[in-house]
Amino acid sequence: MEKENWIEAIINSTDGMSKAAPNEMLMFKIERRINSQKIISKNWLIGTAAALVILFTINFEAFFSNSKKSNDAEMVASSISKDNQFY
Amino acid sequence: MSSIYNYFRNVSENNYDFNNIYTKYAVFVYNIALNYLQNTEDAEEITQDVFIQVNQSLKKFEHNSTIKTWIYRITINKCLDFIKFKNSQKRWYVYGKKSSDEKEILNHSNFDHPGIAIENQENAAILFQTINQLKDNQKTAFLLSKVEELSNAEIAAIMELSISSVESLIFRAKTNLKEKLSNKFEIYRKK
Repeated sequence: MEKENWIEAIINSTDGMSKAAPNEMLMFKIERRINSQKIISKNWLIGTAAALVILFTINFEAFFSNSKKSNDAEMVASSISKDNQFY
Repeated sequence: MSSIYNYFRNVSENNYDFNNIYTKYAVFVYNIALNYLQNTEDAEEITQDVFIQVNQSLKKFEHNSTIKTWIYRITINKCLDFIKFKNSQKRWYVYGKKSSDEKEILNHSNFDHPGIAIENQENAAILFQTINQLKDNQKTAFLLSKVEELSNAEIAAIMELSISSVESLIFRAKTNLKEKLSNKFEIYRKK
């Protein structure tokens, strides 16, 4: 009997409990975190866009300078081959 | 005409005004987290995480359930993830990594709920300690029913189960609790 009473007392120990209130500063903390997330995502967006622009510029430059170089080399090669003709 | 306008205004305010939602549900969210995690700092962290997710997902919220049910569901999932994370830290401790917080790792449950009367604090601490030994779904159903005093229909909506399943979970939770408490009684008696 003592055992049952004890178990009942434990199970019913939360009866009539009142709600605990969160810290008053919690809303500000949440707002700060939301705003910081917005700033981070904006910064990431700008950073990613800048990196892509740089990458495309470098590739563009590299592609066209290489094609120009290969044209020059072809011209030299053809002039040499013309000069070395025996007939 | 004005009543229709007011209805839509209320709907949009209730659903999409973040400050309004926070004011309405912060205490609920905080208390569920507190009952689940039994630590005020962890409960505040979870409350922050829940409202950040609510803020992010608010526009995507489909009205399949009420906003209250949706927020409850997010809170419970966050609490379960948090407990999993803590347990994984404990496992690391077994394999040699030592956490900076010994108390956290050893999971001492000397939790005094701020809303419980002083004369019930000791008994409630034993209850929360025993609730932690239940399976996740039994723990959720029991806490929502006994501590949060929600109806079985509300619990069923939150847990996405049928009402009969919820009733069965609560029954099994109570049976298991009584069994575990019965073992604890012997230790209590020896004291």
